[in-house]
Amino acid sequence: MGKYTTLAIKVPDVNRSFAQGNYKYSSPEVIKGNKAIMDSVYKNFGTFINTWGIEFEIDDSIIIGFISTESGGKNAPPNQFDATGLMQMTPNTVWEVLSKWKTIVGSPLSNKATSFFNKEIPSSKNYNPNVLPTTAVKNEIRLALQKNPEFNIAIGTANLRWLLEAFKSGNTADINKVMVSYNAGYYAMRNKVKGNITTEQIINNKSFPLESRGYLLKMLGVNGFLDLWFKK
Amino acid sequence: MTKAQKILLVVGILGIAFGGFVLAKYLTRNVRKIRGGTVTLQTYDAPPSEEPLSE
Repeated sequence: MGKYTTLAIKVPDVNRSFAQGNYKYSSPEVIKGNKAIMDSVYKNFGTFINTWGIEFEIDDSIIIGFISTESGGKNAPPNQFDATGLMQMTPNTVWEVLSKWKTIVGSPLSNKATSFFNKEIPSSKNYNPNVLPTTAVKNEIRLALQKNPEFNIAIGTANLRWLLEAFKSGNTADINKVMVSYNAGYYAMRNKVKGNITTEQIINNKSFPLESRGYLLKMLGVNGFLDLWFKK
Repeated sequence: MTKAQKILLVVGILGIAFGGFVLAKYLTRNVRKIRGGTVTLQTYDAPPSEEPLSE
C-alpha cells in the first residue's frame, strides 16, 4: 500500500470519441498519429516519466496521456496563458503546488523531490503560501520549465498528485476531476466538480469550458490516449 | 477417517481453492493493476458517438 490515495479509472469512461469538424479521434490516421505521439513521448522521456511516476505513485500511462494531450510531446515555449513545455505547466501552478503541498496532500514532499526542486528553482526554498510569487520567482520557474524536460515532467507529475489528493473522496481519487482542473485550473473548477460527478455529466454540462470537456474526451473517450494505450 | 476419505477431502479443498481462483480471475478479467491504483477496461455494445462538442 502506497502513501497516497488510490486511483481507480475506467477506460474508456464514455462511449464517445473526440471530434472537431473533420478531425476525429476515431479515424485511422488520427489513431496512428496519436499512437506515434505516445511512443515518441515514452521513447524520449520514459526515464523521467518512470522516475517521477514512482515518486508520486502515478502510472506511466497517465503521465504519457497528459503529455500527449497537453503538448503532443513537444517542449513548447510559453503560450498566451504562460503554459510551458511538455506538461504545459504555468509558473503560478508550480508555485501553488510547492507552496501548498503539505496543506493539500497532507504529508511533506520527500527529501528526493525537495532537493530536486530546490536545485532546479532555488527560490522554492523560501516559498510562502501567503505571499504571491514575484516576477523574478516566476521568471526563474518559467526558465526551468522551458529548459529542463525532467523538471517539467517532475513538477507536472507532482501537480497530478496534488490534484488527486485535492479531489479524493474516501479512499479513491477521481481522475475526471483532476483532468478538468489540470486544464481549466483548480480554483476555477473545485466548486463545480464537488460531489459525485461522472465523466459523461461533465462532458454534457455546457457550464464547463468547451476545451476542458474536449480534454476529457481526448484522454478518457473511445480512442482517447488512455484507451489507445491500454488497447496495446 | 479412512485413507480414501482423506484423499477426497484434500481433493475437495484443492478444487474449491482452484475454483475460487478461477472465479476471481474471471470477475476481474477487465481490471488491471497500475502504479497507484487500477484501471478497468470497458467495452460498449454500441459504436461511439462522434458528435462534436458544442458551446
